[in-house]
Amino acid sequence: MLAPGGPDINPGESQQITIQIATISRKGSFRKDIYLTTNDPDAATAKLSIQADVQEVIVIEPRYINFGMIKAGATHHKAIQVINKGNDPLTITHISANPEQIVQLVPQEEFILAPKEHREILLTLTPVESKKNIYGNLIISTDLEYLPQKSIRFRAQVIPESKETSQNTE
Amino acid sequence: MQRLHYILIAAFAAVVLIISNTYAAPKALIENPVFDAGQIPQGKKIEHDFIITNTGDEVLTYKIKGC
Repeated sequence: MLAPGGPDINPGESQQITIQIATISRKGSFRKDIYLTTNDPDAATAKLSIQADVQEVIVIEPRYINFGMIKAGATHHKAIQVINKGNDPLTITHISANPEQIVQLVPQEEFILAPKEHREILLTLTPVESKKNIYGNLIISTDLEYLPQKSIRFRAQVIPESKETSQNTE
Repeated sequence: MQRLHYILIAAFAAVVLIISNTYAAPKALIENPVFDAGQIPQGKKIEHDFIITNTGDEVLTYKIKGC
């Protein structure tokens, strides 16, 4: 994140402090403060600040998928929306999920979203009885230079077929 | 008399040396400590170079906290 040139500066000299901030998990306005401690008797602490307004180009709603309690052996569906909030067309190059053995996705092939356009992706989960809890990721690959992949998590609690579910499948 | 003269000069030099050592100190100057990157697309890395200058008369040392 930080690449300071070195710890000592001679009188009359300057030094460059390079700061890098990743924005992949940020959105909206934010401010990051970085503190330096120095041997300057008048300024033992100095503050550097970086602020920015991070614009989401691709938005996935919901941002987290909870299938809730679901029956083993049955098929359960959840739909998500992929939205292009940018000003240029966006290509979704690939969609995948893991664990892939129990998740099917429609569509999986490449598609293009015009600005402000959205498209539904259907997740189908077919849990096996041996797993009580399932945690997975849905990975959406894009042609965006700065955001080649975006992922969201999903979870489910698998119960035996005989028990009642607390949440209906969609 | 000449010896007293030398003693006074030496004493004066010693006082000047002590005073200069007492007040010599580093001074950190960061001209633009706040950088506004404006609107940027999610995923794009923000990178900025801050310049820190030592305007004092002793070596300035610094450490970055919490990173």
